[in-house]
Amino acid sequence: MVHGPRPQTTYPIRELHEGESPDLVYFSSVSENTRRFVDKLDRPAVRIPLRPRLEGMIRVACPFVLVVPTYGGGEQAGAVPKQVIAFLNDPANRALLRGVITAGNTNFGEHYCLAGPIIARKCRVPELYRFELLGTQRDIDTVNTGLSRFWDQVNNERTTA
Amino acid sequence: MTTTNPTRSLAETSVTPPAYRHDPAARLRPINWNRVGDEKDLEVWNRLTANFWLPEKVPLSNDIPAWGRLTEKERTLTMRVFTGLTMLDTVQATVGEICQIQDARTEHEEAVYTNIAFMQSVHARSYSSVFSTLTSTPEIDDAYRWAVNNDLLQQRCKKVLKHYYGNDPLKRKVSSTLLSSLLLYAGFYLPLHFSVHATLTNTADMIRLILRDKAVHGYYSGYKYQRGIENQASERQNEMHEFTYELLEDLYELELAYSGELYEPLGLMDDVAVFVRYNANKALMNLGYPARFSPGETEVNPEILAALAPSADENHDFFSGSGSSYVIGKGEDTSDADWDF
Repeated sequence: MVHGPRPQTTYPIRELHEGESPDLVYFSSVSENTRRFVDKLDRPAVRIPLRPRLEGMIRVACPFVLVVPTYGGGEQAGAVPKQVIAFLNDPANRALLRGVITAGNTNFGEHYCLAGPIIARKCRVPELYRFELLGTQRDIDTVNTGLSRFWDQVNNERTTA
Repeated sequence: MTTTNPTRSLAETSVTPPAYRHDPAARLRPINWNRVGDEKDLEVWNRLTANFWLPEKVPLSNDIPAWGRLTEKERTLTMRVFTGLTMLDTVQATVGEICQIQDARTEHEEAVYTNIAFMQSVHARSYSSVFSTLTSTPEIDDAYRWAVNNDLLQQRCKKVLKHYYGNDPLKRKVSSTLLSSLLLYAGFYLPLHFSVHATLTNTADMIRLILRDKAVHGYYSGYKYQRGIENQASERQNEMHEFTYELLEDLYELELAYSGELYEPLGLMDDVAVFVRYNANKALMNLGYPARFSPGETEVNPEILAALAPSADENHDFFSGSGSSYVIGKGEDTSDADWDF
């Protein structure tokens, strides 16, 4: 008996055009923890839909850094929220991913922020930062400064390449 | 008349069993996991059941040689710390989780608390497994007598029990979240400290399983608290905000007094206090509130942090690294199945 690849979940696509495609993409569950962190960064950002079947999955147009929570504790499968998997399964989105920032809880031990290394390995991008739960003011400041420097570096490499 | 009106949903025309005490005449509805209103209920239920464990699975008897090498002082400290943890878990299993059933926003939330209550009983049971493996009945009895006679331990419990038996559902949630995410951590510190020194490492493994559960328990009560408060009038929101920080302050003071008596003789209290503050901030975050303590006050000893989460002390801060060169990702094709590493 031949087992084919697992059928891919497909969703209606909502394309973002260049002007409306920010360099920060995030996912937050109904707990809104990660959204709160991203709000505090005070940068343009777009949210991966909670219900892509109804809202449509987004397709971005510009390079971006991804902020994701880890669904904590237990096995590796399930650490990355399924909406994020669906978003990254789209080659157009994956090609524009430049780095990943992850939220987690040290109580989950070796699985702390596990979504970060999984995405980094899978998509071959650097894991930029980890923070706990809603993040502290220090996390906000580090990420804000870090993102500005990061994009400067990326843009410099592009112009000198 | 009991004819059903097909245009009205069952949820409108029936109640779940806990509502019986308010309206004995109401029609009762069985829980339906095929109609879930709040997806967090199912997600948390699945997480809890996937994380299920029993102390019998942890090879605690491998800690017998290490136990024998501890000093008398360290052994007494360990037994008292664990008896204190047993006390809090008993409160939480028999009252703290159960009392939230009456305030549930969905029928699935009611079920989740029954699951959490049982797991808290497993945690309370697990310390007894450590005792029966490592110590003797007279020593165990001594530790329990100490717990019953320790005023600070009694106060810590009664401080939250007062709200569990009170009449404010949101205060119950805050109290429960602070117990799961703050009160236990002075106790958890000790086995993490021992494991840093390669002592009682199996007991520490068991504590890590407990920590994993507590994270979900605190997250869930905190999440439901936030759902409960979001549509309240601003005076009520302010009242609860004030209540939360006041209760946190009271519990924090009690933690320092209680832990001071235990840990000061071993010179560990400064480290313990940092760990308590770090977890107090996390408890507040679970409730959706900003941190109470500054980063400088919550810098956990890196060894303890590594004992908690091995990767937490590695450098995952690309932003602060110098000279890290940016690598352009060559994305490979991914599909849903690829993510089950």
